[in-house]
Amino acid sequence: MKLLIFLISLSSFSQIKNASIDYILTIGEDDLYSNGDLKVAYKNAAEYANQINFKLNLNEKEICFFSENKLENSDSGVELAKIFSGSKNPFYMLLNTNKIYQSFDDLILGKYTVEKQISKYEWKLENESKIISGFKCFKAVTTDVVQNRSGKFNFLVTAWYCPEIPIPYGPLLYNGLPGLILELNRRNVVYGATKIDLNPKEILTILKPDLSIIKTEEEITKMREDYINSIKN
Amino acid sequence: MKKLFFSAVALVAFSSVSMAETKESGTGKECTKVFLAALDTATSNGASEADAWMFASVAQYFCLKEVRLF
Repeated sequence: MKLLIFLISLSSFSQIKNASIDYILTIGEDDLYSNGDLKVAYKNAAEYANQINFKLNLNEKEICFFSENKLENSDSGVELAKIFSGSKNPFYMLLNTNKIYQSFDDLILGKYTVEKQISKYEWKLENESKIISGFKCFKAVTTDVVQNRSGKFNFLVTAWYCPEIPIPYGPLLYNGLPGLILELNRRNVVYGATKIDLNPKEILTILKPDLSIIKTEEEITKMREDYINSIKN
Repeated sequence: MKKLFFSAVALVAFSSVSMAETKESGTGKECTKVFLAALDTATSNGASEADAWMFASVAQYFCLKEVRLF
């Protein structure tokens, strides 16, 4: 994919005060989603994935990751694409803390902000490299463990990071690698960087969470369970 | 319950109803069954609880809209 890169100068790599990275989404085949009861919805999500743009914006104090619809009206396929890619709700973090905030506008529970500890990933750095639009990127893999009411699932996550760009984050605020993640693949849902703007002159959009409606993950889990129990009876 | 879920999934898949419409509360016995079926199916396919909840909510949302697709 074509990557448009705006550089002030090579020396700016060591002094990145703010940055804005655009990503696009592609949704490929998944063993479970593509072959089970969700295949129709998943196929629809795949068809509409290209209607979403994602931004990773950061300054010296904070970072956020959020989606933008390319078209004004939000088709159901677009919403499904966001759900299947794990990106329906924006992420925010203060860089000197270990807390991530995710803002929700829940169809059932209303608006709330979840506060949680940043995930620490055990990356395995591999020697394999490839050029992604002019930047040499290296491969790293980790396992995303999903524990839900149906059991435990392990999914391989592959990241291609660029050590030349010393921003240790990427889509969905995956973190911990010695460079910016230009490509992230989880369950064949692929985020790919299309534009990197280092130290841009314009003021960046940083979507801040509403801290007056903070809930912990435990509180949200209970609210969901209460709702489920109420409709089962 | 599986047939209900397939209907809901089809609704979600092909509907062109804008998501900007007014939210509905979780009423309607049939649509709550759609919600529960969607939740179970999503989690059995490896979705996180959060993602499965969102998918089930969307399925219920379109069920409440009674959008006919065919």
